[in-house]
Amino acid sequence: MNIPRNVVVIGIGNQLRGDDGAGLEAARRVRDCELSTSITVHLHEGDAVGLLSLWDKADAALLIDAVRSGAPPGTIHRLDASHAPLPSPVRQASSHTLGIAEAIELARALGTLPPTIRVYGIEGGRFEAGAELTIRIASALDTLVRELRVEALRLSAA
Amino acid sequence: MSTSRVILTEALARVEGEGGMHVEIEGHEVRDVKVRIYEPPRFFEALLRGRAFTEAPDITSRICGICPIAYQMSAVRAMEDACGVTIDSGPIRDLRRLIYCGEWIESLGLHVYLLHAPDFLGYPGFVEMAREHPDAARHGLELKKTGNTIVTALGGREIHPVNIRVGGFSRVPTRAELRRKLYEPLARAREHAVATVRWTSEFTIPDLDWEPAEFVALAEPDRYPIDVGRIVSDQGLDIAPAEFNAHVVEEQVPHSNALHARIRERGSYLTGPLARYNTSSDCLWPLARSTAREAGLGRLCSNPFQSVIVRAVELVQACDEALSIIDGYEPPDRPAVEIQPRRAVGHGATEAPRGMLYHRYGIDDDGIILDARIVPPTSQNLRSIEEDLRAVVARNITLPDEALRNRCEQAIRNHDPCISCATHFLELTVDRR
Repeated sequence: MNIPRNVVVIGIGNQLRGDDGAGLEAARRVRDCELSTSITVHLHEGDAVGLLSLWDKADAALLIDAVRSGAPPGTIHRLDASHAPLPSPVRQASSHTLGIAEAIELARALGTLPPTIRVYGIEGGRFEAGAELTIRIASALDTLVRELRVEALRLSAA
Repeated sequence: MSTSRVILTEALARVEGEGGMHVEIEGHEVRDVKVRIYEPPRFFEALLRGRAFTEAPDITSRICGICPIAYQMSAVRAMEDACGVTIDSGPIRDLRRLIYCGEWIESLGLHVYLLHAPDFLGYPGFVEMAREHPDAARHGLELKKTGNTIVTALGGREIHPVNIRVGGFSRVPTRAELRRKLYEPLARAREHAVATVRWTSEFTIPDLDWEPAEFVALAEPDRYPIDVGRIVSDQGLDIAPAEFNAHVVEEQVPHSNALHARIRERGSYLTGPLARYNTSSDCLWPLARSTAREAGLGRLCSNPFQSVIVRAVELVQACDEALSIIDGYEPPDRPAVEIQPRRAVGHGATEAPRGMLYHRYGIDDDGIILDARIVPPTSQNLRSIEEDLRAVVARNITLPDEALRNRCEQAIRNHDPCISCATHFLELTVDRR
């Protein structure tokens, strides 16, 4: 029997800014599913540099974050950063800290990037401080959470 | 025939907040230099009015995700001053200094490695630098993480900690807890910090024919300034924080949503690592002092491009002090001193990693905040940053636009500006005519 591979599922976002909390909510729901012990779920708010220690030594990482690209709210974008950087538009509008794309490239430069790394972007509708998740996001999460659980189990058994 | 040019950076990276730089050059003369701060003001001082005096540390910590401890510490000092309480010694002071050392290690490590070193080594950013200097990048990340670990251990979480309150802490750690969580990472961080001083001392430091008019920092007998002190300068200023308003004025300028501060009698001044070093280098502990000397720093240091080395020296000092505090720590009987409000005005000044942060509050007998004034380090430094930039452009005026833009950005980052704090980010334009 194969040794299970370590998989981390990381929800990223800001709980207090409407749909920016979608990645955190997705991770929370994955955590509540029946999972194998080799799957770890993290909720990450704040500086993306902290992601490096969350996926350190993992065989696969699934990241979930809210995005804003102009697509209809609730659209799921699936990006694979295992062998190449995320496309350049996927950049965080911040200056003092790194965004997710930079954190992935930093880990690649340091040789600590998991062999498999996928980013699930949930198109958000509103990001105002104090807002709730919008309805369309909440229903899109149902589908995404099922997909994440299946993918995490598949990767851990591979 | 004279040529004119404008050099413009729309969004300056590796600074905190939103702003721009605009430089106009005519022939070989600098016509105009502006650090344009367009990030909107956030009116924190107004929203503090009507809140309880106990809420100031938690509300003001939200001004900055990099230096929340500085805001919390200046707020608690000011409120305790208003209520007639002084906590200048004992375990609560030690724990305050320890968590502040954590913020220094996190923020100075972040600035030296992730924001500033790429300028000196010729990389567009930290990721590109990390590909060719992986060991240095690991040291930087580990320093930053150690700082965050200290803040989390004492503050409850790494950003906007929740455990600091007027009078002390909501909960204090046991001696064993501090040693278990912090000692090993800090001992390693101290080694990395010493290596950082040596590494930065090998950087090529650009010459500059300018130095700040006045260096202003806190000072305390026999201690490097962090959390407590009088406000002093190399030009003879020596005042209590309560006298700050009598000596410093803030002015609105058309191109900036951040106010510009100046010393009433003289003009521009600079706070931050160079100011602290120039007024208190004698108070550095032996390890920090000897690494500074090995790095070629004298007792005084006025070239802002050397601030990267001074920050590294301060990393050594902060790690050394943090370890010493843990060694000598005995928990206080109670986590906080109970404080009764009274109608009064209180002042607090502490040293954020990028410079001095001043708070003043008026409160009533019920402890309700009547008015608030917050003067962050970047507002105090902006006038000097523009003067510095003018000198950098003048000295490098023959450089092609791209090289000049890079040098200007590096010069701005010498001061680690936090525009979000000052308005409560940066574009750069160079205009040659």
